[in-house]
Order: sequence, then C-alpha cells, then structure tokens
Amino acid sequence: MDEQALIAEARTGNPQAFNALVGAYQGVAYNVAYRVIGHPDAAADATQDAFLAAYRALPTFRGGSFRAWLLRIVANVCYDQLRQRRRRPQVSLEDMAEDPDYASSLSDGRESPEEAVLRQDVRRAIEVAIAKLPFDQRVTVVLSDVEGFSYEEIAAATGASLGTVKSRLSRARARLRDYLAQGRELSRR
Amino acid sequence: MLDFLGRLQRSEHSYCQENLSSYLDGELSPRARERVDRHLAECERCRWDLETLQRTVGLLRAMPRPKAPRSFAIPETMPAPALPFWMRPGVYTALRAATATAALFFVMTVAGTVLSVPMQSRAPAGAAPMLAAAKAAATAPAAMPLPATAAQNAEALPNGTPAAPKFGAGAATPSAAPAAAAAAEAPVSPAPGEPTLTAEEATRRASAPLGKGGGALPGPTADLAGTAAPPSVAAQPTPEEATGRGTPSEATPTPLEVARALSVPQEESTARAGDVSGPDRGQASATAAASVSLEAQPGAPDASREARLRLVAFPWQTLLVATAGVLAALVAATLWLRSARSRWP
Repeated sequence: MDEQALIAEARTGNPQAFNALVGAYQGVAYNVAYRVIGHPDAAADATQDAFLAAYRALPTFRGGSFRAWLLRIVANVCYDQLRQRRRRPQVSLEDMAEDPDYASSLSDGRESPEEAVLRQDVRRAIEVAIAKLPFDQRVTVVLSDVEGFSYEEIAAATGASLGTVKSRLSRARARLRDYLAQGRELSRR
Repeated sequence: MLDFLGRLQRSEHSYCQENLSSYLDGELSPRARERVDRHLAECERCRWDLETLQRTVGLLRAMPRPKAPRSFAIPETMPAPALPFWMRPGVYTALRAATATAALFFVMTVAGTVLSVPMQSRAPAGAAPMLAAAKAAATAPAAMPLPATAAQNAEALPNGTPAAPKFGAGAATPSAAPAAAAAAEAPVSPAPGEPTLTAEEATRRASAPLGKGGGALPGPTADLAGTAAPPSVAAQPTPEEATGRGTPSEATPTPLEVARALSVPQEESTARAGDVSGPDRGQASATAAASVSLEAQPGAPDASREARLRLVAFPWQTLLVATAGVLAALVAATLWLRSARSRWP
C-alpha cells in the first residue's frame, strides 16, 4: 500500500493503516523531537502526542508532503512541551550524558564511521548550543542539517516562507558556529 | 572615491555574510553565487566564516540519530478521526461573519448613543417632568395657533400705567426654571391668531405663585425664568392684546397690575422674563410661558421632532453595554480560534 492509500484508509477510521504510517515516520519524528527538546523521555512523550494529534487531524491533511505535515504537528507539540517544562524544570542537559540509556541510544549500529569519530564532548557541545537557539531557529536547523530536509519541506513543516527559512537557517548556523568556535570544537577536528 | 569603494566593499561583505549559508547548500542563483565567489576571493574573513560554517554543518550532519525507544503506534481502538467542531470548515468563517455583524451593530449603537446625547443634555438636566414638558411643548406648537406660548410677560406696576414690557435681560440659564425653559425652548410657529389666554389669566398665573410681590417664579431669580433665546427676538415685541388687571400683589399695597401677554411672531418662542426690580418697586414680572405651553393642546405632531424624541427615549446605554459585551466575546472567540487553528497543520 502506498502512502496516499494508507492516508485515505486511516482517514476513514482505520488505526492499523495509520500505524503503518507511524512505523514509517516514527524515527524522524522522534529524532526531531529529541533534538528540539533535548530530553529522551520528553521527546518520546511528544512523539506519542504528535501521532495521536496527527490521527485526529487527518481530515485537515490536504495532500502535499505527509512528512512535512506530520513534522509540523511534532514541532507544535514540542513547543507546548518546552513551554510546560520551562514552568517546571526537570532534567537538564548535563544530567543526560550520564544517563546510561542515553549513552546506549547513541551507539546503535546506524552510526557511520564519521559519526563514530564524533567525540562525545563535541556532541554534548553541539546539543548545548542547539538548546540555546530560539525555538524557530532550532527547528529549522534540526530539520535542515540533522534530518536533511529541503528548504521547501522545512517551509511546509514550519509554516514559514522560503526566505524566512533561509534567514533562520543562516542565523542558526552562525550562532552555532560562534558557540562552537568559542569552545574550540571547530578547530579540534 | 576611496570612501565609495570602501562602502561598496562593506556592502559586498554583508551580502556575502548573509548568503554564505545558502551558498553552502548550493541554493543560490548562479549570479548570486558568482558575486559571493568574487567577494570570497578577496575577503579572508568571509573565507574563514565559510570554512567554519561548513565544519559546523558537517558536525550537525554527523550527529547520531538515536532510534525510537519504543513504538508510537496508536491504540487500535481509536475512534475514527474527527475534527473538533471548531476546526470544521465553515465554523471559523461563520464566527468571523458574526463578529463583523456584531461590530457593525456596535458602531450603529455608538452612533445612536452619540446622537441621542446632545438632545438629552439640551433638555434640562433633570428628570421626567422636564422631558414631559419638552414633549408637550414639542408636540403642541407647530400648526397650532398657540396663544401665550410665545411669551407671556406680565408686568405689574404700582402706578397703574401699563409699562412697556422690559425685555432684553440677558439670556437666562435654564437651570433656574427648567420646566419653563424646556417648554419655551420648543419652536413655536408664528401664533398671532387667537390667544386663548386672557390677560387676566396671564396675570393671575404670573402673580399667583409669587410669594412676594417681586418674584416671578419661586425660582432663585426671576431673571432666570426665561429661556435662552436670542435677545433680538424680543426686542420689538408686538403686543397683541391682553392688557389686563391682575390681582394685587402681596408686596405692594395697592398696585395696579398690568399684565401683558405678548405673542411674539418668532420661530423660537421667547419666554423671557422681564426685568424684575424687586419688591421695593413692586414690579412683578413673570413668565407664564411654561405653564401655558404645558397646557397646550397637542396639535399636529412634528414628525422629525417626534422621531428625535423617540431616539432620546431609546435605552441606548443598555444596548451599548450589551452590544459591547457580545462584540468582546465574539472577538475573543475569533482570536482564540485563529490561534488554535494556526497550531493545527
């Protein structure tokens, strides 16, 4: 069954058809949530919420990129999560690296040799730098540089214009670069 | 020249800085890329920036992608997806239309309130009787030859000679004798014809309420009993008739009171108080316009006047508060719905 058929099927009230879509997209959804929120448990919660919301919102899907549409919901849910967490702060990024689950989740078989080279402290520095970005820039740079989305798809997923996407990305990268250059992460490689 | 070149260089530099990110992604047009290339060739700072940006993006791309910790499949018992009612097509449009209608109503109510206020304040600041008086005066005059409505000037002179009515007292403040003012303010068409009020009656009316010989009305000063009519109106009154005898005033032992009822052929009635010099001179001057005009028979109603009075009588303020409340609620609902909808894909 192709994607459009699954969507049409799910729209009629077939959770199994929708779960086929969940299986196809939960990786990217969780990754974006994780990079944007910065915490694995909160990211899992956000991903689950996003899929439930997406199922309910299926009637509003009017074609186009389902992935971009889904990630817009993910981004919205992440935004809500972050707002809630700001009200009652929980685990900080510093605790995360000590978390054995987190460490093991980083070293699965999907890492390329280049990724393996990326040292733990550099990853940490990047995560901290991403966490310092404004929400919109964070989503944009995660979708573009971590997930490899095109400008058009990012525009669809964030509801912004192409020009806005370009300038957000430019500013986000410059900030990350400045932060990493301060910590000499850029010169070590 | 050097300055110009410097500025050119700076603008090229900022152009390059702005576009490095897109340059990196190969998203620039060939012309823009050429322009960046040209600047990169001569600007070491930009070359360094490009290199570090490149490395940053490389690091981001090399970030590990943790796999999903569990399945995010939704429960198989989930009911068919249904939009919340406020997300259904048409709801937002209908709400916006309702808000627009409420806004229109609100504007109309504000206009009505504003239009009605000057009329209310023109009627003496006071209550029902004033309004009633104004109403009576308003409905009466137009086509009706109304007698003394115009001006009743009753003067009592001690020496018995009919004195020329003294007009020209300054414009009176309506507050002194609100009812009189209200009544007298009503436009009166020329009513030369048949004054139904006899001079005697006028005089009686004039002097009856007097506690003392001088005062025209129990109000603070007789001067103020009149209305705010242009002074010129009363300058040359034409005494129609009604020179009569009044009852002796209490203040003056043996006065011969002469009452003059004057019909002033003017659009605006002038119920003007004559000069009242006070009890010592025994001159009683009174304006009977108020009471007289109140007696006026309702004649052919002046339609526009009626309409305006109805406008005044309408409970605008209540309506204004109600409309404002409805409008505020609708605007709040529309704003909420707009933000809620924008959160949905």
